[in-house]
Amino acid sequence: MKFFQIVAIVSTLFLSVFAQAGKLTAEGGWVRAVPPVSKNTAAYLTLKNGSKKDEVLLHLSSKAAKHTELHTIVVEPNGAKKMQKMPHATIKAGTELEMKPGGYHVMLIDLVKPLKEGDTVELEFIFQHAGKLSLSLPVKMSEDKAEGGHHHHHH
Amino acid sequence: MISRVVRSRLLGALIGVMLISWSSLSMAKSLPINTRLGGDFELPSTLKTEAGNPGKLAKLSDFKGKVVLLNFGYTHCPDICPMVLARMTQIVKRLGDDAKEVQGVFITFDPNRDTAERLSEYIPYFNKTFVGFTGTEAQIAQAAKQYGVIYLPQRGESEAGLLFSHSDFIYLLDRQGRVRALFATDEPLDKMANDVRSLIAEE
Ligand SMILES: [Cu+2]
Repeated sequence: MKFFQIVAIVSTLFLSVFAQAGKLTAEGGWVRAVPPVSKNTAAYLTLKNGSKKDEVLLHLSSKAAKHTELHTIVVEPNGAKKMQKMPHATIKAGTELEMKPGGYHVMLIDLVKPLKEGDTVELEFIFQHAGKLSLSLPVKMSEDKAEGGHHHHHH
Repeated sequence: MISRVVRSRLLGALIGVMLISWSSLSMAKSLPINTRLGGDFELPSTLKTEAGNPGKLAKLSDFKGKVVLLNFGYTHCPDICPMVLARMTQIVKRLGDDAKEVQGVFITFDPNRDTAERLSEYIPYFNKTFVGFTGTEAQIAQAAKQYGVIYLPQRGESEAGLLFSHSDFIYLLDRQGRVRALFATDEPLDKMANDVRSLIAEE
């Protein structure tokens, strides 16, 4: 398995993030700032699999929290939304996994210290083929675009 | 001559139709009153008691005269609840000076962990004017029922511990406290802000 060097460009002006491991890229990541009293938060980003092979996200971790998990939100028949831990995620060849509020997210549980707007959070993903992908994401109060309901992606 | 009269009448009629359709377009349809959901409640809040501590008993109807954005959630919620509160914050931001006509309200359905103290450390982070409510489990169940809110504790495999599956609407209440709209999490912020403005304009 080839390990690619981490490429993470964090622009504090545009708060855009791009990182790459082989044909696997991460874009638009951010972490939600939460009140100091809150010990959990979520990270969001889009993982694009530009290769011809299906890719599996096997493991993820962060030094910012005691536990890092992949979660998704399931809508139950009564309309209630349920957060569910996913052991791993498959990103089919040529597709992407979009993480956003109310959907897939990286759960950061038991934050080591409170996160405030302007901080950065280091995340590390391990993929079946692409290997390790490390990135640092900006902490933001919210992503206006994601929460305006303006863009809808269907997979 | 006749044809000219007919023509001018036709023109008049046409202008009339155009005026009617223009005025009905420009006059935003007022939001219907939801008679099935809503109602008052009196619960311990993040407002301070005379002794200076959070937990003062307050009623939703104390905010009568203001347009209310209300939602139910819990502070240990890592994804949906902070998103909904952030959305409420962004609606209020869009209102500029009219923001003072609006009251944000959060009711916890996890009252055992969400005490008035905890809520008062959590809610103002989103907007200093927002007020949080807690209570006994029975009181919360009653308030949730009034608004058709579903919440179910669940223990999954997550290290996050006790989580809830829950509904996540923002309720828009008019100055009389009547439910006028329910906003889902994918409702555009600009549309929501416009609906709030239409209720502010109602007097
Ligand atoms: Cu989660």
